[in-house]
Amino acid sequence: MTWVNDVVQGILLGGVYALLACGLALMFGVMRIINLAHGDLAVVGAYLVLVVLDHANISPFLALVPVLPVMLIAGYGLQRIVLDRALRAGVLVPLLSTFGLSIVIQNILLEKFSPDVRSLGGQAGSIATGSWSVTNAISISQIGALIVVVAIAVLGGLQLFLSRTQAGRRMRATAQDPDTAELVGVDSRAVYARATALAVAIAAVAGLFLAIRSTFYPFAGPTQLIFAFEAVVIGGMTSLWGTLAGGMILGVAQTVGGQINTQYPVLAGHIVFLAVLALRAALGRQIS
Amino acid sequence: MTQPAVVEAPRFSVERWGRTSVLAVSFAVALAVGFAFVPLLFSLNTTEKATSLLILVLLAVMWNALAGYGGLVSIGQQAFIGLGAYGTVWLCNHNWNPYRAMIVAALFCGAVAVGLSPVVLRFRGAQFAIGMWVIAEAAAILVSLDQSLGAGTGTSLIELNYYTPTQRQHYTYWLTFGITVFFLALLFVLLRSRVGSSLQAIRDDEEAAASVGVSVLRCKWILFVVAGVGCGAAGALTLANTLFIEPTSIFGVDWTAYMIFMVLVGGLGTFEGPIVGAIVLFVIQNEFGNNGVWYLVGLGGAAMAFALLAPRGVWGTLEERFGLRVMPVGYRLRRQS
Amino acid sequence: MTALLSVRDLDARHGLLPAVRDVSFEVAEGETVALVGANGAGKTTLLRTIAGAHRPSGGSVSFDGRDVTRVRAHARVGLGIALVPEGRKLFPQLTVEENLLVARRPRENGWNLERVLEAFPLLQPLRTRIAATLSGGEQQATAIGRALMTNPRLLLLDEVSLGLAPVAVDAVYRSLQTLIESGATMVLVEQDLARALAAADRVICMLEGRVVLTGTSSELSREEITGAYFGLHGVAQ
Repeated sequence: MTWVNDVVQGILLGGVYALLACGLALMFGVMRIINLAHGDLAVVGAYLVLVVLDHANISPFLALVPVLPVMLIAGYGLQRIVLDRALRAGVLVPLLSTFGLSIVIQNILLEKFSPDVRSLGGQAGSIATGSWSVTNAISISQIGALIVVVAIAVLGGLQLFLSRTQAGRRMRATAQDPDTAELVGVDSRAVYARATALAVAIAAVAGLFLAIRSTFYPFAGPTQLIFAFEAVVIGGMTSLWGTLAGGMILGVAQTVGGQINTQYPVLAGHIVFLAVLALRAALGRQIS
Repeated sequence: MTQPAVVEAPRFSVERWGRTSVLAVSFAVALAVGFAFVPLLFSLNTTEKATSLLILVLLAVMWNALAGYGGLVSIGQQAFIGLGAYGTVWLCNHNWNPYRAMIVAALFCGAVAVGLSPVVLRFRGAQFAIGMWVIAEAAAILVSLDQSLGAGTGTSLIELNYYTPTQRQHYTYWLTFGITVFFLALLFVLLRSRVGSSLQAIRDDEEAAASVGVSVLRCKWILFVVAGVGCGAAGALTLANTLFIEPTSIFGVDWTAYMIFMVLVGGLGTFEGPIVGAIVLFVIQNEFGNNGVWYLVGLGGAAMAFALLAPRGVWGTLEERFGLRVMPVGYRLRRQS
Repeated sequence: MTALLSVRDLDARHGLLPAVRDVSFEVAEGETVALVGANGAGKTTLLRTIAGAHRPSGGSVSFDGRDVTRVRAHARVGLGIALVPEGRKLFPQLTVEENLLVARRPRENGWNLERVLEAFPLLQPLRTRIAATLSGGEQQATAIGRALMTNPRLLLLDEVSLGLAPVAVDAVYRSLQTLIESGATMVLVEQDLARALAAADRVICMLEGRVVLTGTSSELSREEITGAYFGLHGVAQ
């Protein structure tokens, strides 16, 4: 019966990955940019919440509120100042630019804060530690459930935005054909900037929940990044709900792998990732 | 109605070597010969630095071959770097001579590349890039689970202690020199051959190349395997040069960052570019490497600046501005008056 | 009467290759101008440069008295220039309705979704169909409708009959005729000389990037135009 519990835990873990992957998927879907600094931006979000908490004795969830506009503006600026030019220069340039950004972020975080591992779980209250026992063998952590709910809300909200609003429609149009979008009056650069702003803000949300659920430190970004990538790619890169599914498949792979051997969880995730890719390639389906 | 005058079309000849090219190749050969004497002329410290420089050149050339000519953007070449290093350790644990082990380990990496290719080369774009990265991470985990390879804490090549430090540094240098020159020569010959024309066609427009009969998959396969061997060799040589490795750093994605930096700064898709890029990185590492955090910030910032302001790299911009073609890997038209 | 569109000494290139050389002409409000010429004459590049999708290397484009040469394409749409691009270029994964709505630029008594669907009734049952699944004629109707949704003052149409069955082309031109009669200003690129002469007030013929012949459709004969089209006797303006 522990297998069922593993799957449940894996699904809960998948919520974190899906939330992390959401922003990544958005940037890749709209602009074909692989943002190698995405994990680090999530960590920045966590640190910014920490800064707010240093000045005000409030719940971390509330502390996120002032952080979000900062991240939105940061994302907008990142796109307009750096990534716009990078995009026009070729496929490799955004890769190198975001990698450079990743290094800059990690080391600035190291300078401003110490290399100590931190967590926001302590300040989040009972929700960080509480859990419900469904049966004797299965327990669901409250924070895990909350993260899944938030992930679904964010993904759902983003999906609604893209399919029902004019701004969302223009974003999809620009993603499919930026030149023609310009010809029908869409400012593609502004659309890109909005997409990055959203992606960075969502990364901050993901960073907060990551910090509450477990720990973070200046160099925590790249590990999260690779999990987020795996979630996006497993999910198929064609829809946001696919990203949710991808995150959960990864989560389950890791927890089941962890049961087989405590040193295996991350490796199990990698193997499942590669297997999914290989299967897709063998079936001849082009997902990109 | 008047008849248009008959005009003779100008005659052209197709050449591979121009005067600049002959000079350049002679210079390159002379430089190579000169480099061979470095251990005999300079201190051990300088020799070690020169070894690092040559390893950087090797890595830059390999990554450029993959991405610049094959269009294969891999964020995971460190998989081969790590496997080359740890392959050497494994062989030495089984009583191989360290230097022979390095060569065999590099070839082993080529075999791994061959093994991976039927699957990996079917991945497109982002999937290939990230897929290679995941393979590198998986390899790192597998290695760190193996106690005989030093597990997570790292290992060194104690067999090298059978040599004196001078011998060790000299042999390491010469092996590095030999391997780097070999790969440069190999790439030079490859680019001048039929495969080379195919590669340059693929670099310019993959679909168009396929439509004129270029076997795109075969060319990519060649590049992927060659890069596997090259990066594997670089890993093995790094082990010999730095003496101690551990999984997180030898399989680290930082290697890819350095490779992208060198290739972008030097000039993607040019022959000479990666060499220029390697020299730039080498200089930066040596001048600023001791400044800790700010060195890395500076490197990251420099990468971003270069990417945004001079995306064709130093050599690419020179080629474009001055119509420079130094190494004879292409064709020239000479008008005959 | 100031022209709505004024193009002066326009140069445009593709890399090093000159595609538009020293082109000058004007279009008055309410006029329909046909732009003819062989493939590669520079017609598409000219339209794209007027719409802002292509950067000129020299010369100027003025719209309604204002110099728009440096204005980005999306802003030109805001001013009233709309291009129906060569090859339709619908957003493939959006539905017909979404393709139309994306371009929405509301104006009082102007074009909106209902009016466009009225003008192109064949689209009405296709509202929720994904654009990539439409036939050539249906795509063309959607593309023109999409341009109309921006409520343009100047409509640029690039080869709307390309790749369409004659029946579909007839349908397209019938809709265009209604537009013309309502006083729209249009520049249309058309390979079919007969249709071009029938629909347009004026004809401009291009060859190798230059304007080689202009005149009203009534005063130019088919022989003159054909001669200019193929550059047979270097007919000057």
